Amino acid sequence: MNTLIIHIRETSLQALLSTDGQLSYCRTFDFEPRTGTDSDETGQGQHREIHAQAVDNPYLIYYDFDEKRNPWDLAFKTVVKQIFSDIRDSIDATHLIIPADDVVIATHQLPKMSRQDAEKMIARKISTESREEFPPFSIIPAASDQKSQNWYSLYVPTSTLLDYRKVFSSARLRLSSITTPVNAMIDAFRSVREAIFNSHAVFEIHRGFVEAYYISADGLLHFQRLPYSGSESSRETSPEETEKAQKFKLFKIIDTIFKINSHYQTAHPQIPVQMAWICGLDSDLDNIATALKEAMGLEVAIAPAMPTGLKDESGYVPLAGFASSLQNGTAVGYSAADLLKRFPLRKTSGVIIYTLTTLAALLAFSLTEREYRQLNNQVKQLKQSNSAQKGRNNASASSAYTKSLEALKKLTARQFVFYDLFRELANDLPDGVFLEDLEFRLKDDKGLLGITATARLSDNIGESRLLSRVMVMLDKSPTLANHSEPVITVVSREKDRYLKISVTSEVSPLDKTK
Amino acid sequence: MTRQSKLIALVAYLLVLTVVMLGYRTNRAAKVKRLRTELASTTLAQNKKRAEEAELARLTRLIPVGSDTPAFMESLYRCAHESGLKQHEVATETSGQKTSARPGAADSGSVTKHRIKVSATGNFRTFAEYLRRVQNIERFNRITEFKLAPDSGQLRGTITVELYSLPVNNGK
Repeated sequence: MNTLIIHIRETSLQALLSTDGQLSYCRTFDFEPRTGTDSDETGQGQHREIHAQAVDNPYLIYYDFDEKRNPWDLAFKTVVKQIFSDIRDSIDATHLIIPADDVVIATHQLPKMSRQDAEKMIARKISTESREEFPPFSIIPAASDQKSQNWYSLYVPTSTLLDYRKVFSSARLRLSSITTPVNAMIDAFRSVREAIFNSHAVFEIHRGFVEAYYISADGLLHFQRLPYSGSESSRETSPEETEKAQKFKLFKIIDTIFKINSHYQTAHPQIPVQMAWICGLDSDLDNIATALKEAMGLEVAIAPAMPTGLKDESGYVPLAGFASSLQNGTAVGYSAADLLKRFPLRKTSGVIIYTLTTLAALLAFSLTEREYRQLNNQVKQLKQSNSAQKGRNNASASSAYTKSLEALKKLTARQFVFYDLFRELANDLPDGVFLEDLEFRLKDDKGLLGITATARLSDNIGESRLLSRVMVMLDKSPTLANHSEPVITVVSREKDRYLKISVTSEVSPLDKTK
Repeated sequence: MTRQSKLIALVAYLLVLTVVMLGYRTNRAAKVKRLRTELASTTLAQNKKRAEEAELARLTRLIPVGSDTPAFMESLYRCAHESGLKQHEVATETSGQKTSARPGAADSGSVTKHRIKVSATGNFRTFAEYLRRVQNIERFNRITEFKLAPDSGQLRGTITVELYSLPVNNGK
């Protein structure tokens, strides 16, 4: 299993790869703004020192200056790309050590109590100060006496953790855990802590800073981080000048360590330092160790306490310590409280949830009740109006009509319309044919019509097809149906002879009811 | 109050609220459904009743309780005058016959028939117009017999019209 550990510092990023507990790859990437961006006179000397050391590093990454973003943030994707290019293997888990500046370190003096109780008390204090209900933090025991116990608290704001996770996600790396350099360094000396009677001092010298950890058998007694100012000139060419610069730097480092040590001795006069460890990326660690041994009269060794087999292993002590603790399952991780923990037990969110659900229930209740009442009222009103109508109907004399309703409907249903018949006869009776007699009789709801017409008898009756045309008219009539065979006789009138045609037919009731 | 008890309280509250609301909604939904059905059936019944009432009103207008024959005869004269018929005469024919609307029904509540005889002279056109007007009178009437025959160069027509009424016994 390939575990990548990344330690982000102010101007550099260190990466270490652990394959099943064996450290197989380490690299330091330095960040440098492109050009002409550092106009700040106060920080100029320190910046030049970093530049002078980074020149030797082939993994120097230039970034475009942006005041709003961190240098490592800008160059991070390039770094990740370079790491993958170097290791040429997949990474199963990625862990991060954040810069010491992102950790809020505080000391707390509490009465003697269990670690759990102390943790609760410190949690409340940090929560009040940070206004975070579940602050990501850890505590480390510090010095103690008979009545009280001092604790170091390391608090990393949730927003910081989320920011780092976001940056790593943007580089397609999922962070498995996040820790602090203090925890990582303590983990690095876990194997020797049992042998510590008083305290051991660990000085990490890295890119212009000395980070000092005074560790005891069960915790951390003192932590301090101080910059040391290097030579103003970083472009010495002659060996004399180089040697002079190195001596000056050595002096500055020893001076800084002395300052830190004097702080420690003031704070803990009863706990003397047994031994000092030196580590860091500085190439001159042997000289520093020798000088420190002579100056402080202490046994001084170069970390790590347990060799890792890596080249430049002294520069990756916290990373190796974190890798070891991850392997042992003793690593201290910082993570934002999960959703279930944060939600919904905060006072505000709890009140919001209770209020919203109650309001939703009330809204549903009122809407349902409104609909129900409206319907109920409608039904009641309808029933009332129906019963009132019923009463009125009973009082009226229309019951006879109701009883005879069907018969009355049948009676008034349809009847023959005379006007249609008259219009038809007037329009369609052939020329030369005269209506003489018309007789209608209604019997058993069936209308019978007798039509008698006359036509002057002439020689061209055959040619004019007069009789046929009369019959066609009767056949096509929509008002007449089932006509009988015509009775045709010849009668004499005023010296003339006439044909008399008589037909009886049923009439079709065309009109609808009134 | 510990975190766990807060969580339990919230879950319990939400659970109770959900169960209560579900129960309430189910109950009310059933009642609302019943009311809607009732409303629909009542509305349907009311509409049916209204239609029946309208039909009754129409029938009452067509076949009134009283025979009101004189008023109808006046209407016939008016029609004849407007159509241009001559020698128009109207007379009732015997007493009203009763025709049972339902088999075996008593006298009260049975349709009564009133026959009216009409005679007039005119031409084909005036008779056609007269019959159109008669058939358009609001009071329901049926022409049961109609005879049109030539008479001295004109047409003589005899018409039998039937009127109907529905006498109602109100206990008066």
